This record gives sequence, structure tokens and C-alpha cells, in this order.
Amino acid sequence: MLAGRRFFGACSLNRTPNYQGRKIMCGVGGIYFKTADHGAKTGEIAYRILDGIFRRGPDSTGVALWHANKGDLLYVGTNYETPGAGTAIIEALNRVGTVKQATDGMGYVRAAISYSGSEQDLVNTIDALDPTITVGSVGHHLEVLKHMGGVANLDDKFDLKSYNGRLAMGLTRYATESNIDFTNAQPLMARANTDLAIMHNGHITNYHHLRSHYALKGYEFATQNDSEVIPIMLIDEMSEGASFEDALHISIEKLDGCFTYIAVTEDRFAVVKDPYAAKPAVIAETDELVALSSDPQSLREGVLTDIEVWEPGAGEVHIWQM
Amino acid sequence: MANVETLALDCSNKATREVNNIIRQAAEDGVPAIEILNTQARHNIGVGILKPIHLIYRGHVGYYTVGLCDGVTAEIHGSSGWGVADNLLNGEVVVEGNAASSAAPALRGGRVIVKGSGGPRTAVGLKSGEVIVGGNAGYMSGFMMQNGRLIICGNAAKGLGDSMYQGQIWLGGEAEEIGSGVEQTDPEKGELEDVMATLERYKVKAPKNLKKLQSDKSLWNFNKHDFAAWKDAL
Repeated sequence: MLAGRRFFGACSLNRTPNYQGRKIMCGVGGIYFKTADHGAKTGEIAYRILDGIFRRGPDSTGVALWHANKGDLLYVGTNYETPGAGTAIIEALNRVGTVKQATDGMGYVRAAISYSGSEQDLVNTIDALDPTITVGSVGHHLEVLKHMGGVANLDDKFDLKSYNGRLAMGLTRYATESNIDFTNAQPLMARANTDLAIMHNGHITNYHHLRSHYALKGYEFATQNDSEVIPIMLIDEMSEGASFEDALHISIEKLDGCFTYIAVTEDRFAVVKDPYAAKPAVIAETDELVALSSDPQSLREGVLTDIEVWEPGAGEVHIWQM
Repeated sequence: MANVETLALDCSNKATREVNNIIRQAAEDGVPAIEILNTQARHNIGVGILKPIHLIYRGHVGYYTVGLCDGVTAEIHGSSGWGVADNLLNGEVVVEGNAASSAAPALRGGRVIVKGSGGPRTAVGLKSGEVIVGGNAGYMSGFMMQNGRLIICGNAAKGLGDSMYQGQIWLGGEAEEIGSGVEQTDPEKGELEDVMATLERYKVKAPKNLKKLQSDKSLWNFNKHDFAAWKDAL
């Protein structure tokens, strides 16, 4: 089940995946502050929540961070597998725009660039560098960080704990259907579409049918991960006139399988559960924050209080306006 | 329990196995009650206890609390995660808050009272005993119950009692959808009074009206001429 390419190096950092005796099934979780002056370290809370669900998904950890719009600043996340390709990616980003900040995470490049061209051109340019290179995320508000193993690795490379913005939502992945690598790690975005990231716990059993359907409509898939069909479905529904909320409800009808997923956009985020409520998620909300997790224990460890939680029901969609 | 000897057990810095071993040994030694502190929504606290003891959980608890127990009574001063009182053989578990998915699954005896709301599949596979929900119950509650009594004071989500064999469901509010093979029926003499007395005993606010639901027995035996009913049943 877990056969496939192993990432060439970073798995050996801090926490090596160890499945023996662990409960493995992916975990989703994160934190949102309702106001900018929240006075807490968002990254530290997200770290604790994701660390608490590490045992659910020891293969990789990723997080979507929300930033206020800074003009033409674009957050670009790029996956690569060829050793040393990170430098070439950063150089290429500097050719198409101006790199303001970049970190080579040894398999994943996190970059913020000043860029005014089209996102599709940028994706095409970077992807053309090497067959193993794929741009995984582009956003004016959303930045995606990913790493193999647990959240400790993510923090080692990208200093997650220092993030102090309003929203950090992530996923700990247990791979069942595609490789354990950066490309297939979550959060996932639809190719060249900005500011819509999803984190999905579960499996989409009609994935191949849906992938064929959207590929015929012209959508490009960058991964073999069944979860990638979710952002593409949402983008497609909204391009045909559906509201974000309608698109989420439509996804419950069209997706077959068990799923709980979080969707984050530039100004909203949502939790969606399948019609059978087969995958867990608990939510805590106060006047200051909304915290989510697959596991109530991780959520309470995250916010460091014995906060009251509730569980969304089958087929429910819950949306928060940021 | 105010007048009995109570042992305090702080879960901080203790592994789950250690906590359970302490509870198990206390039950063996005849300790009447344990107050469990700093539960921190941890999973599997108070599992596999087969001698009578009273457990007082001060805080929220995680998955499978009071699972696989026999003769244990418990009060949970918070909410519970999935599968509280899983497979309880006998005893009594009171959850003061809400219970997440699959509360009291495959209960074989005793009573589980959730004073808040229950999540999806509350009392799934109920084999005997009683489950009381003070608030609402989630999707497919009472699914494939084989006996016992499920009382829901609030509303129920889709699939209530789907494919139940025997037993009773009492519903105070409305069901979004009644499950396959379930029918509403008139209570027999004294049944409603017994339900009301039970709710009063646990200080659960009784609804104004209670409907009794039971299996219509349509799914008891396979009938190839009525294949559509089986196809629709989950």
C-alpha cells in the first residue's frame, strides 16, 4: 500500500515515519483568529494542533497560511525531487519576477515574489525547468508550506512557529493512494488557480472518473493524489456560476467516498463532511477564534485550554467569513 | 459520591496504560471511587475495567472512554470523543456535555446518559441496556440496534434506527428521516410513564411529546419479491 518513491533525503529529519502501533488515517486541523490583534502566536498553536495529530498522518505535514494582500506579492510553493533543483527554481523565479523571500526546504521551495504576470505563465515557466518540478501553490493571500514527516520538520525548515497571522490550517498525511513525496503532500491547490487550498482526510472512490471528466474539460492535474480533484471541482463549479457555498454542497453530492475536508480561500474557510460522517472533525469557537482538528485532544493541546468542542454532522458544510 | 472514599488520579505525565492500570488495581483493591483529573481529552482513559468502581472525570475526554468495561459507573464532567462506553456490559455512564460519533456503540447492558447532544451513529448496534440523549442525535443513530431502548429528547438526523431488529426508540423532537424498516407505533401501557420516570431520575428535561419507534420487521427475512426495500436499506 505504501509502495512508491521515497523522498531522497528529508525523511531522516527529526521524525522518521514509523507506522508500527500508530493510528494512521490523515488528520486535519488549524486555527483562525477573528481579528488581526489577537495577541497570540498563530504558528505555535497550529504547530501544537498538527503535532497532536501526527500519529494520524506521519508521512508528511503541510499548512496553509493566510496573509493580508501586499499588492503584487505572490506566494509560490514549488515541489521538486531532483537534488539541488531548489537553487534553479529560485533563480527562475527571480527571472520572471523579483524574489523577496525564498527558502529551499530540500524538496520544496517556499518563495514570495513580486510578480505582475499571469499565474499560468509562471507555472508553465517553472514547470519547464525539470520534469520533477511542479508548482504546487500560488496565492496573493495563501501560502502553502509542506515537508515530509511531522510538523517539527516543517518548523525546522520554514519556521512555522514564527507565523503570527490570522489563519493557519494544515494536514498530517498518511498516504494510501499516491506517493509519499512533496508533490502529493497537502494542502493542495488547483493548478494555476490562486487562493483556494484544501486539506482532505479520507478517500475519493470515484476519483478516476472525476479526474477524466475534468481533464477532458481542460483542467491540468499535477499530482496522483485523489484529493486534488476537490479544489478543481470547486473551481469548476464556481466558474460556472456557483457560489463558494453552493460549490461545497455540490462537492458532497459529486464526491463518492469518506471525507472531511477544509477549504480555505482569500476571505473564507469551510469544513465539509461527507454524508456518512465517517471522518472525524471537531470545532471550537469563541469570540476570538475558531479552532479545528480531527482530534479533540490535539485541539485542546493547541489552544492550551479545556475548550468546549462540537462535531459537525453528516453532510454538513460550515463556513466562516474572514 | 460525596461521602465515600475517593482516590485522586492526575493523568498529567502518565501514560494511558499506566492510568488504566492504576484504575484497574484500585477496582481490584475495592476503592469505591476515583476522581480523574487533567483528562485533557485524552483517549482510552478507563478502559477494560471489569470490577465495580465509580469514575469521576473532571474535564473533557477523548475516544473510547469507559470502553470494554463491566459494572463501572462514571460521570464525565465535560464532553466525550468517539465511542464513549463502547461495548459496556453493565454499569452507568453519564456524560454531562456532548458525545461525539458512535456514543455507546454495541452496548450490551447498563445505561449511558448524554445530557447534551449525541453525534452520528449514537447507540449504533445497541444490543441491550439503555441510551438517553438529552439533546439531538446525529445521522444513523440506533443503526442496526438489536435490542434495548434509545431515548432522544431532541431531534434526530437522517436514518434514525435504520435496519433495527428489535428494541425501542423514543423520540421527543422530529426525525429528519426515519431509517429503513422502522415504524411509529403506539406505546403499550406503562411504557411512556417508565420513560418519563427514567428521564426524571437523571434530571433530563423531558420533551412535551414522545413518539415510540420500532422495527416494522420488513427486513427480518429476505424476500426476493421485495428487492427494492433491500436495495434501499443500507
